[in-house]
Amino acid sequence: MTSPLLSVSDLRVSFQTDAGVARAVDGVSFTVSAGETVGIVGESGCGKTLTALSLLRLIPSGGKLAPSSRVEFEGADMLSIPERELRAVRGRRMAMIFQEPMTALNPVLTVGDQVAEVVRVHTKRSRSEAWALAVAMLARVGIPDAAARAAQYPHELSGGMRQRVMIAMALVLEPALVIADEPTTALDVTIQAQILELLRELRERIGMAVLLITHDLGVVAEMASRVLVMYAGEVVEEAPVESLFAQPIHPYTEGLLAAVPSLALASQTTQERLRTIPGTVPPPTAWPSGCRFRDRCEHAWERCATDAPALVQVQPAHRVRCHLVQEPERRRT
Amino acid sequence: MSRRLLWPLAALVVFLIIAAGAPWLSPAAPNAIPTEGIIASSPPSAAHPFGTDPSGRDVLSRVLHGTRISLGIALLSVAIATTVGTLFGALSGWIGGRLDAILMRLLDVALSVPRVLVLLCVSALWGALPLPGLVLLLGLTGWYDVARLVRGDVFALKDREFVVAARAMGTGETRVLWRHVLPHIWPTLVVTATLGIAHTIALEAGLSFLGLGVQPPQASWGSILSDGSAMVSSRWWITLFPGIAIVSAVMTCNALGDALRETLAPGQVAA
Repeated sequence: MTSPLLSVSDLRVSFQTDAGVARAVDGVSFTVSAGETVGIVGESGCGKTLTALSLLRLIPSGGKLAPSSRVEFEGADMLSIPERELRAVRGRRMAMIFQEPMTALNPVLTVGDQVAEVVRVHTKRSRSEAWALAVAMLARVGIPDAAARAAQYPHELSGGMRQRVMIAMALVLEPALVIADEPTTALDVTIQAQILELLRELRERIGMAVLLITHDLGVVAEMASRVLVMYAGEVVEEAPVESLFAQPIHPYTEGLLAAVPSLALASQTTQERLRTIPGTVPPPTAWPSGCRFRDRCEHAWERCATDAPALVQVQPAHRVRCHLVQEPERRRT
Repeated sequence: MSRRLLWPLAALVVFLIIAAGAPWLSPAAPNAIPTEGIIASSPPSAAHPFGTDPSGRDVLSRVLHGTRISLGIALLSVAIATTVGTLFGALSGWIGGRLDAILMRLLDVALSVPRVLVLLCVSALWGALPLPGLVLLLGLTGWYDVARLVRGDVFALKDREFVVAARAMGTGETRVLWRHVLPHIWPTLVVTATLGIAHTIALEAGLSFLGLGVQPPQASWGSILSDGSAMVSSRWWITLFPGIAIVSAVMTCNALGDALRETLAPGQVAA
């Protein structure tokens, strides 16, 4: 078997806060193969975005990486290579699409400039060559009249167009891996579908791997082949997308799936209410002892409070962090 | 363009034209002493619209040439102050951490010493300060506020998402600072510099009035005031006209600074 494109092991990022040490990402491991699309799903505050930023070593000030953390990408350890080599990877081999293009694009630079800058930073192309490439890329992501649009500022474009610009910036050098952090969350539903379609199309053409970070299970179902479910800084379940949707094992995954509204539900005559997971993600300074989900879990018993579950393999590609795997009779129906 | 901006801008252009064209606009050389007749101070007349001083020099010509010196000193020293302040503030805010703490405490120390005191001490100890020395002295004591403002802006901008995004695309630190952060600080710099010019004009006039700035016979607004200060009641025209020049130049720059502040709204990133 060839080694994966990206291999993350025991990634831990913590922050020193007034309330104590916040272990925001706490021992996350996963791999992404070339050309594969992997989804990371979880509620706000579970460490998804921080995990993504850590892959590019873009840890917010104050954040500390544990020495055991490893992020290996195309054979290089992203967490220890010199700054110069790291910059050569960023944007060229591994790029990121940010959630909110309004804030992730610089308001004082034209969108063409911002796409061309990626080219200029990484290649020896001249200013005009870079600009031409930027315009071509803007056209490729479906911006009509790209040559004129390139000279406009972000505030002159609609939200969907801005996200297309973001995608153009990330993909202009055809990276091997693109991290898409909630790429459709800030957009209208109709635009969301267009953007996903665009990402799928470019993924096929460029042959890149995608790490898709989202809280939207619908997006994951459409795009990803494998899913990681994160909760409280940990991976709680990892499975191919079909088996995750067909037979979720972790109660948190079950809860997430049950909390997706469906039109079928709305049309039912018996007004069944949408299920929710009670409570919220605990603050990262005070993860509960034992299983971190036990306070919100309907199946929890004594063992869950004292004994932290490990991520165990239940099927060849399905791993779960829950005591129910060993004691399925505890599951309440 | 708003009317508030238009008037001070027009006035500034007039001042700049006068400064640039002083040798051609003046009826006489600024230091020319009459070669015949009685050398005495005469009141305004058709030949000398602003009168003459006790050495018989034409006050109008001296005020026009003084514009060049006074504005030149103010503009150059503010340019120095803005450059030094921007570099210092950007470095401090961008790198942050311990360096930021040290630089900002140093700045607190510098700010705790009154500027006028420093100016008086240095120029008095130096004796006759040459013009480049005066420009440097005013520039190197005028950047503290700029540094603080820039540092604050850079500090607020450096964790903005577009800065993180630029880094994520592989842009180097220097380029991120130069291309992505500094353009947002322009409004702050323009406003601060304009107000700084007003302040520096007044300071230079004060120093020259005390005989510590521009040295006679060189004409600057302050040095002409100084020449006429002993005879304000009998030879009012020697002090009145440079006085008007100082007041109107300072007011122009202040009005322009305020109008720019409203137009550019620094602190908010232009959308």
